[in-house]
Amino acid sequence: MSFSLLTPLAIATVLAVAITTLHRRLTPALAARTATLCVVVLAAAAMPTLWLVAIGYLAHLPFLHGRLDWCAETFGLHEAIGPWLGVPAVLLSVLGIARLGRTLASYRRLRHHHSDGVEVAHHDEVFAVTLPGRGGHVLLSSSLVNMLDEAEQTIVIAHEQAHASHRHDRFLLVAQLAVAVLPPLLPLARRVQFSLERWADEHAVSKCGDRQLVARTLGRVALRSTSPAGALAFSGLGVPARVAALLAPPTLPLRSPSKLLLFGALGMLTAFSLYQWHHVVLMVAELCAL
Amino acid sequence: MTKRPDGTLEHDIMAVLWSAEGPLQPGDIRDRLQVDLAYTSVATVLSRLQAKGLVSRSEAGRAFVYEAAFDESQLAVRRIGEVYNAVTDKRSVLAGFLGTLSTKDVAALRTMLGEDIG
Repeated sequence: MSFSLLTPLAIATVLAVAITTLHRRLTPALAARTATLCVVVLAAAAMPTLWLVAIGYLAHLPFLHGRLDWCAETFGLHEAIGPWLGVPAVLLSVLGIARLGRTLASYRRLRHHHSDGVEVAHHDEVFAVTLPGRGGHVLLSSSLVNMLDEAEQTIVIAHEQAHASHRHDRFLLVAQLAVAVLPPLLPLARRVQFSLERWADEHAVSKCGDRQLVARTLGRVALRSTSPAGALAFSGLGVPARVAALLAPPTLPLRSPSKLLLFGALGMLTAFSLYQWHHVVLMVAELCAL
Repeated sequence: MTKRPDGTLEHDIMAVLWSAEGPLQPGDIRDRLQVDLAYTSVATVLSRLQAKGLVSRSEAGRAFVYEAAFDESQLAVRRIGEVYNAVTDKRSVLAGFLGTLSTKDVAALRTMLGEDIG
């Protein structure tokens, strides 16, 4: 393993974690954009490393008779990569591509182009979603509609329409694709998801003007919608954190120095990620020369 | 002509099949659509719908005829079921109003919003 391969990735990871840890101090819209950028850039930084390790391992396998030697040569991977690192890298690369396809297929299947506005569907479970696609089709279950009064229904619809009009489906898709190729990015994708929900919550507040009422509605819907036993906890990124944010005063926009710091950190992160790609550029150059 | 999103044409063709009294040939479907389309475009979308299991094809004399595999309400139920499955998937690509709650989450919500919350 060469030092130059891992150092930029390590720095990029630390930067991305640092930036997204501050997400509570940012307005939800900025937090969602920042977290999405971090996920994408980090995936872009880590993928070449993963592939290089996989290639480095395969190149030294005896049955390939050195057919991938030129490849290893290009990256300076003279020492064989052990199977403890090589096998997971190969598996992760292959599985990642399969999962990427599955995520895309799921998005395309749910995509809904023509919108009929808000649709109420007969269903015993309490849920509300915005389907992906430019139509921004909102689907509410009949059980949800029945448990809410008119003011609360308006809040849920305002929340969903914020997802639709700001195309939150695209942010989510990008984050989930990154997780598909690199499962360790899941915590960052959860932050994207959380910030998108917060963004839509704040939009609902701007429509009805009552933070308390939005918090109560969200709490009521959440308590009715799931069986508590055995459910997954989102460790501070779930409904309780959203309710707490709604009961607290609204987040103020960043002051200029903090903004500068944030954009500086994002810039550095992108630079380190791009640096990783020079290995890939080298490989392509070698391939073309053959 | 501006390009129409594929989903819209699929939807329009399903609407024609639902309102038809029996199986239809692609030419009949084209005639009943509000828009002017080539026969081949209708045939392409029909084969895509068939691949999705939404229409069934049978032979009538020398031609193929098509009919809807589900009626409109059955299809809606099927689609809602699919959406609901996606909502409960933890790697979902859907944005929604809720997440799942742990026992600790429930307690936290009751503390913040009062015991009468439901």
